[in-house]
Amino acid sequence: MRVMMTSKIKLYFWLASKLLFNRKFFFGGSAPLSIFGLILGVAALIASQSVMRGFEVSLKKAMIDVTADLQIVKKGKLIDNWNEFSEKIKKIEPDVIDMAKFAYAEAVLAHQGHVAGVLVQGMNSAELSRVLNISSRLRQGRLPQTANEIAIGLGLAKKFSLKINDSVFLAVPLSTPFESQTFRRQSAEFIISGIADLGKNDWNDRLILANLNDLQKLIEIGDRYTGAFLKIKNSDLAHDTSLKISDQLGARYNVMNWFDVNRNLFEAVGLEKIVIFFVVFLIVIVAAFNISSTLYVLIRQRYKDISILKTVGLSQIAIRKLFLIQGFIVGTVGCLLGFLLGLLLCSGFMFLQQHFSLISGSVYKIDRIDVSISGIDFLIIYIAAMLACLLAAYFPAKKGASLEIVEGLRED
Amino acid sequence: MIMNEQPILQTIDVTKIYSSGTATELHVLNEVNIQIQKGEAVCLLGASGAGKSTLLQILGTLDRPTVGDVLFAGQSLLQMNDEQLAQFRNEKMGFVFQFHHLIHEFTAIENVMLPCLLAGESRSESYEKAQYWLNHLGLAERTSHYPNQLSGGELQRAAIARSLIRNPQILLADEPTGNLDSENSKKIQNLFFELHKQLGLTLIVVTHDLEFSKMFSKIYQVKDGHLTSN
Repeated sequence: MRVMMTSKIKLYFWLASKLLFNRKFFFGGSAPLSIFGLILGVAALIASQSVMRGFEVSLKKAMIDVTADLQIVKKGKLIDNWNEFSEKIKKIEPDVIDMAKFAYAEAVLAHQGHVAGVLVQGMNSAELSRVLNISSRLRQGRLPQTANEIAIGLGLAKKFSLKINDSVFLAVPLSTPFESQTFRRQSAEFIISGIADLGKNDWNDRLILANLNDLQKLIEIGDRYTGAFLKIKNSDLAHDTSLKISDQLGARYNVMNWFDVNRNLFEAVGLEKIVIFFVVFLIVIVAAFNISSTLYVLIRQRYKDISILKTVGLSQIAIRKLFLIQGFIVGTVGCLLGFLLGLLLCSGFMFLQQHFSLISGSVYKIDRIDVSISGIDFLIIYIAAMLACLLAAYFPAKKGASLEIVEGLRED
Repeated sequence: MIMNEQPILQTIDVTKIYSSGTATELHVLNEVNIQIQKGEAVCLLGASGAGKSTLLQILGTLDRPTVGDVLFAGQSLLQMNDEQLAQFRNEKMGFVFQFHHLIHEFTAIENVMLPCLLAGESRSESYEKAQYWLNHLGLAERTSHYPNQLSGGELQRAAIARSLIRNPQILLADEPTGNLDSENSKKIQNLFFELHKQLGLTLIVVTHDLEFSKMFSKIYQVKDGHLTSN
């Protein structure tokens, strides 16, 4: 029975392609144009979805490189006992691979009469390289290793025309212990050891990486920490892990995953991706209408052949299948060529991006997108385009199947 | 004995009315009753527009009567659904038309093997049978030619090969020589009767060629939608 089914399907494919691909089809009308429309639609979908996914991936990578998979901050207080805290976390979540303690401080950077508000992140250099991936983002120099060294972002370096080995002053306001209304200034001189592309414009303009000890001294917190960065086995499970840890640690701690750090941006990108899919999918819908009209014309031209096929033993259902298969073939050819053109467009985008500044960092937070071509996107686009093509083929197929035999035989 | 007397094909009060809108009705066939025995060679004779082709199409299940019934070996064909009718045509009937009605995109052999393929026979088996019939009808050298590369007589012989490949019980032909020159017409007419004798086929042919009609054992005259036996 199964062999019979397979041979029937093979036969229908043979008949459908024989009746579809002929001189008239390629040179005699709207068929090549309607396929071309589908190719363009599919290519536009592939390119747009790959760019959007690439944007998401680039953004995610930037987040994880600089803020780790998870970060835990003790609300309003500092962590006193690191060993006890880290043991506790590892006990709650065995999937935590590594942890790094850090301290944060809002500060003012001063250089040659100019000032800017910055965020100083102090970390132990050994832990930093294990948990974060900032070293791969260095464009010049190295991460801070010895005392009073800092690494800054590209934006800050550009803004203050800073180079490696330049010195800057960092000043922090510290509240006085007995008078909460006033504060005193604490400052220190730092040497720039490295300039990094921190992946996101906000960070390039504001974030400064310093040694943990230096920052602890500057803000006078002793051997205490603002929080911890966590590296886990699977970044995609960061959301579940953060919930689990947050649940166990209680309300005194704030646990954020890489998604939470820029939730608005990721949600906007996700929404944009869906909206762009449907907007670009309109091209495929238009192409499907063209395919439908082409198949109507094809069926009109094939009245006689349909009658012959019915005369020699093909049923209405089989005729319908035959024309649906034609829709399937047109759809598949259109999709495959569309995929190729889409890949070409992606390569073109990468090439242009390398030579021209296509992405505005101030608008999109990152100034470079690694186009990400995903199998799932291909599958979704293929299924959506094929559904449109099959729907486009259904009505002509129905019309062809319902044709009276004698009507077609009269034609010649 | 009773089985032998059962007509292989018969119509019961078949009427065919074409209506264009509500105002006009065209009665093409009026209560036609015909009984065709197995192995008979029947000719439907008549002027153009008399209704002979319509009757042939109804006998061949290509068209449905407005009123009446068509029986094959006593079984009503109008009770069958589309799937069953398609299978019935594939197994029991062969058709030849005035125009060859071969599919232009298929070679001669592909056209001929089509009914076998649709019946679920393997490609090699279908090919072999098609090759046999094309050889038998003198088209051995033309198997891989497309219809536009064949002459009128060759096209009609290829169409006959296609109609016979499934060993049908009944061969229906509508003006099979109407589009051929006299020499080719004669050849095709003789071929029909050779096959009729060789295979014991029931032959039902529509023609307005009086010479051709004389070759048949039974002649029916179709006139104004009525049938008379000569």
